[in-house]
Order: sequence, then structure tokens, then C-alpha cells
Amino acid sequence: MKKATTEYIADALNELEDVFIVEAATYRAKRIRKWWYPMSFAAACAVTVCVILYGTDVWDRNQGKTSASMNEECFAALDATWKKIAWEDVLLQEGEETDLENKQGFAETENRIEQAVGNALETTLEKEQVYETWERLKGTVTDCQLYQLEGKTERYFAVLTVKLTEISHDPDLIGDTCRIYINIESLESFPTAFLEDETEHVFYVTPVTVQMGEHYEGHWFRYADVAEYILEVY
Amino acid sequence: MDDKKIIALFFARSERAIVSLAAKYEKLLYKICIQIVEDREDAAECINDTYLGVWNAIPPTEPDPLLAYVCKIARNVSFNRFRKKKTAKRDSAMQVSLEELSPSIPLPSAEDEWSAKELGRLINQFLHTLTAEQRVLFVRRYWFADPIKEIAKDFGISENLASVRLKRICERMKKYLQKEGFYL
Repeated sequence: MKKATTEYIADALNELEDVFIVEAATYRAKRIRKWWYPMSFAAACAVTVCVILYGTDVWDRNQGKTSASMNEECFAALDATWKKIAWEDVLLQEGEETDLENKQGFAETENRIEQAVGNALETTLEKEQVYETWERLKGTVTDCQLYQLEGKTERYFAVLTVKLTEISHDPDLIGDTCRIYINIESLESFPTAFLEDETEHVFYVTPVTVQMGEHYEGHWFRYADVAEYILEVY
Repeated sequence: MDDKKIIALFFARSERAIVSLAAKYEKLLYKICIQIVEDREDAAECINDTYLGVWNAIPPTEPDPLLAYVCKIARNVSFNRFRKKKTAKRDSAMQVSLEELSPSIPLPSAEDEWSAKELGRLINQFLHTLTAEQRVLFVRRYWFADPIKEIAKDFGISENLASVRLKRICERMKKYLQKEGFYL
């Protein structure tokens, strides 16, 4: 007689490796420090405003250019900007103990970003899956960074720090600070964005499903526009 | 007490072996058993049967890690009791968690039948591709049958978020099984 599905699965799960059972039984979820908070006062004003102005300037100077050439120029400009104000420089201004903690938090975050971005690049999700998770997301962008993926010179991703004001999927998250990652290379075709919650656990991976339109093309780097764009599409 | 010392007590056939084992793992074992049988008396009996099973197996078996060994025995004993019991609830926590997982693992066809053991091997392989956190989510939900609420609390995330993450892991597993030739 054919087994019931649940029995079949239960039997299969009996084969689970011991190491996984021990891991699950002894695991304590890490609460990663909100490492960007201590930096907010010291850096947010200087860094964010600087980049807003810089980005705006780039945008203004590039009005009328083709989106492709403008993309290159803006990437380079923003990349250069972010290199000038590397987070480590900011962190060094902290006290020694705090500095150490922040550095560890930062390193961990970096690892997670790289891993998450790598996953995102390889992830191809069905369009409709977006709507199974959430349909709308709104918030205020408080920070934006541009990264270049190691070993992949043509691949960039932007990291937006967003304070959520509306999220259809999980209203509990309203008011939380999240981060949205955007794979820039594929943004024009079928971009992938993903969001981390405040504990920095990646919990959402989805392609952005709308078509690129005039609203987007050429000026998404002005992260006010990025925010507007991203927050509108979900 | 250290697991090795507990095992040494079993080898010495000391009654303290069971007492020490219970002191260290009874809470966890109860949790496993109750999620399956959903009856306190049955769970208590399952735990006793687990101790008996461990007592009979050690020696000669020298399990490492002991924790996984006793958990597996408790789970098997509980499942056996659950299956035998005619009046068993069909909506026990374990049953609910397995049904939640089942869309990701449909039964293979008769002509292309995969044994549960083979499926288990593939699931193990798949789990190796996940991050520790994802693995723990999966194992806690589908092996320990922990409630979503409890998992979410431990991870400091909302229940909704925990559900979404589990769903995504299952979707990935389904794709993995397909890639490995599992009939879907």
C-alpha cells in the first residue's frame, strides 16, 4: 500500500544528519547590532546630504544624455563618492570598544551583503511570486551606498536604507529600518531587489516586476528617485 | 554533565545514566514527543521508551553526538505511537508541519519510486546548501515541528516573516529535488 505523503516525508526526515539536529537544538539566533545607528549622527548628515547633492548635481549635469552613457557616468561618480567616505573611516571616529564592535558588525554585514547579492544574482523567481509576499512597500530612504561586486567589474549593486512607512506584507515592520539591495546590472531587464530586516537577516528576495519607464530611466541614481521608484513598484 | 560522561555511565550500567540523561535532555525530548503525540501521558511514555531504547542500545553503541541520537529515538518512538493510535489526532503539530512541507515533496510515481531514504539523502544535501540560519529554520519547523510562533520569537522576527522564509526555503528545496531528478 502506498504510504501517505506525510509518512513518507516523516520517514525521509528520519535520515536527517545528526549535525543538523544538534545545530537546530543548540542554535541561538544572532541579534546583529544595528551597526548603522551609532553612525547615524556622526555620518548620516554629512554623508547622506553630500551624496544627495552630489547625485543631484550629476543628474542635473546629465539631463538630456542617453540613459546608457549617463548610467556609466553616474555609476562612476557615485562609486567615487562612496569610496571617499568609506564606512571604515567613519567607524574609526568611534571609541575603541565601539569601534571594534562596529567593525565586526560591519564585516559581518559585508559578508552577508556579498552572499545575499550572489544569491540574488542567481535567483530567478517567478513573477507572480512577488504578489504572494507583498504588493506594496513605502518608506523614506535615509541612506544609499553603491558597491561593486568583487571580481565582477560590470556588476554593481545599490544599498538603500529605508525607514518603512507602509508595507502590505507585514504591517509589524512599519517604522523599522530596512535595507533594500538592487542589482544594478539587471535592473533594466528583470531586476532583483531584496530587503533585510533590522536584524539583518535577509528575508525577502524578489524581482521587481514593473517595466522600466520614463520615470526610471536615466535618473534612478538620485536616490530620492530610486526610493520613489522602488517604493512605487511593489 | 558532559555527554561522554553520560555515555560512560551507560557503559557502566549505572542507574545514574538515565537520571543524567533526563536531567540534560528531558525538556527537549518532551518537546519532540508532545508535538507528535499531542498527549501528555503518551509523551511521558514515549520519553520512558526512549530511555529504555537508549539503555538497550548503549553499549555497544557509542553515539556521537548523543543529543541527535536520543532525539531521533524519541521521534521514532513517538511516530510509532502516533501511527498505532487509532484515535490519533490528524492535526497534531507534527502532522501540520509535515503537511505544510508536502507540496514541496509530492509522492514519486510508481515506476520511478524513490525511497524515503533516498529522499532523506537529497534533503540532507539540500540542507548543506543553506545558511545555518535557514537550516535551523527548516529543521526546527519540519523535524522538531516547532510552532511558527515559537520559531519567530526565537529569531526575533514576525510570524509572517518566518512563514515567508520557510516558504522560500521549501521552494528552493522543490527546485533542488527537481534538479536532482526527483519526480514532481
